[in-house]
Amino acid sequence: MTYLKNCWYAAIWSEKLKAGDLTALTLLDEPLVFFRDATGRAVAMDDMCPHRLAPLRLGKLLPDGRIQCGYHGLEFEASGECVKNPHGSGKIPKNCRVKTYALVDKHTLLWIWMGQGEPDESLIPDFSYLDADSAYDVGRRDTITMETNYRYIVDNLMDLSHASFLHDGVLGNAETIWAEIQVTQAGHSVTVQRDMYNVAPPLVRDLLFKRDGAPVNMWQKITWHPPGAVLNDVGTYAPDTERTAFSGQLGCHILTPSTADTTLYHTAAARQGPIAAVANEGDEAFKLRIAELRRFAFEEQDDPMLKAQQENIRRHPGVKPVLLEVDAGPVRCQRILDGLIAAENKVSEPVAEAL
Amino acid sequence: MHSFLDVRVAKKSEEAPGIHSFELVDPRGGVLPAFSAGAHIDVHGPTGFVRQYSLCNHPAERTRYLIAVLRDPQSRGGSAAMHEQVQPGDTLRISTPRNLFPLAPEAPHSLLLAGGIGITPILCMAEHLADGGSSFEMHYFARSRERAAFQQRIAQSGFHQQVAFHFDDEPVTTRQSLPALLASQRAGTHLYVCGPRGFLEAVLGAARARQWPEALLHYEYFGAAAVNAAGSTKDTAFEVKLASSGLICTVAAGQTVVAALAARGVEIPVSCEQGICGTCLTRVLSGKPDHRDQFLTPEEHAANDQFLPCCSRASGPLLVLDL
Repeated sequence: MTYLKNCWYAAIWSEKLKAGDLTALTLLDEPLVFFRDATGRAVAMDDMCPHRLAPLRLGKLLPDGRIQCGYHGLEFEASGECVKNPHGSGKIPKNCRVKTYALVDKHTLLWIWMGQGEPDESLIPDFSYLDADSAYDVGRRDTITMETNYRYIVDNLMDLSHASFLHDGVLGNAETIWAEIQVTQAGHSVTVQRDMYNVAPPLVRDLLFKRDGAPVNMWQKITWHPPGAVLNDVGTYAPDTERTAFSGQLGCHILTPSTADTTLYHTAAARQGPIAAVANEGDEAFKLRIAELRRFAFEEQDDPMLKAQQENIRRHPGVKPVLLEVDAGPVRCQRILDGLIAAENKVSEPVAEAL
Repeated sequence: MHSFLDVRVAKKSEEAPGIHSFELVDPRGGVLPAFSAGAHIDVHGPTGFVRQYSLCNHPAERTRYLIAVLRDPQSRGGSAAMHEQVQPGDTLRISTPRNLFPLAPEAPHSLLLAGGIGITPILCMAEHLADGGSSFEMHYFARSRERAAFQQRIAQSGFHQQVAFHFDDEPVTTRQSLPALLASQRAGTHLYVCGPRGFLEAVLGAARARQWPEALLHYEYFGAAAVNAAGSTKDTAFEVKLASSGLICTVAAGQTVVAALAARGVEIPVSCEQGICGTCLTRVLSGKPDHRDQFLTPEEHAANDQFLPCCSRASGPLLVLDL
């Protein structure tokens, strides 16, 4: 599968990569191994010893931050250089090194750059609400492994009309089907805004707002940055008040392709807005309840549907979807992504030939 | 679900020749659903029509909606019925307010441009920006002084010094003042324009010629949000010519290009039939399309070398298609 390479992908939540751990992740069809060196800095390298091509994930992390291959004991530094060959004269051939990747800890995620181009940290999309020192109280940071291609999840997120059916009662309901939809594009990012008026609040909205089930106005403003970083800004307010008197959430949906059929879905939400119902169960329990409802919606409702949808799409390769008005946002995103991937492959062709 | 309200017409006033305002209130004297500057309502008129009108009162007012209706001789009868049949005391069914023309938060400066009856949402925006102490200026373009509605209200407002009037029959005309006006704006200024199509195109064309980013351009036709594809009777007939065969085919006012060509035996594959999927994308060799789709980007629209015949039309008499 052809992926966009010269961009940042969120590999793992920084807090999930603990000192002393070797964590294996396949990203963009490439098996990688992640760990922290002696200074605590996160490192990503190919999950393969150059000697006999054994996976390094089956080795161990030594106390000085080196990784030791589990097969014949070669040791590698965070730079990927082999620093110890325990056999024979101990000679280390020049080619005995592991490919490493630029890895940046930002917005509490570790972002990896897998392209040939110069990694530019300023290209990491803004999820500063997640920062440890932001004013937001961020809920549980989850990574869900979805059994579907990341592009179907982009379609799913950029057309939230499905919430009325697939997430009926939790994130949408029959009254939220009708929405005023606006699609805007700024550079390579696309925003889809849905405004709904005077509707019965779905469960998550009601829990975050007044918990009285009374009709509300609500918005969803979801923004995609290629290839898979999505920020959803939602808000709820009473129909007889100003939009500024709202309760809502900022939620990230950051998608990293693992393989053509699996995607790492990084998500975490924070409450926003001046209005908030008092959580009967206490703040921490409330945050967990919201995180659990979100995980349920994405993992137990979206994932089985998208997986089955993908199976049908594969089964009928010539069949094109018959699109509706609600698909304007997803179509725009996929066109942009196709264009970026095509441009990247055009530019890198001469390089490939030279090699 | 789309919510409806029944409101009472509390007052009907002539604001200018051919322009009536209608003040709508809750029949029980209660508060109405809130709205933000730029919002519109659907009005279900006495003869069964549904039209969109922008709200032009202060968005902080909670007990009334004010709309202004231009009697348009070319209209489908909605504006005539509003003028002739709707009287104070009548009940009208309306939708709750919706906003497709919102103000951007935290703009360093806002340039508000109204053409004719397009004053309605612009006035509401000016009220809101003035209240928040935001930096803005408003320009009101009209054919003549007599035909510009709400002059007195503007003159009595706290922001009257931020408003400039431009009348076609007075020395400095619209066309002359527009480029200078845009040239004088600082970078990052958000532009809001509402008015008839020709006015909008002149303003947006001038702004795009000066490389204004699309994200800073906000616009709405007339003050009505209707973004309808085929079937609007405001559409006129035009012709399309096929480059390969030379066939010339007339597209009637209520007909799509795809339907007109199908009637002549020329099939264009379609899927969504509403300008979303791009299946029917067709190259345009000459003539200027009137784009109605959401598939193409603003840049692709501006290039005018392709269009979606399932919903888009022509802005001139003829399009030559690469078919």
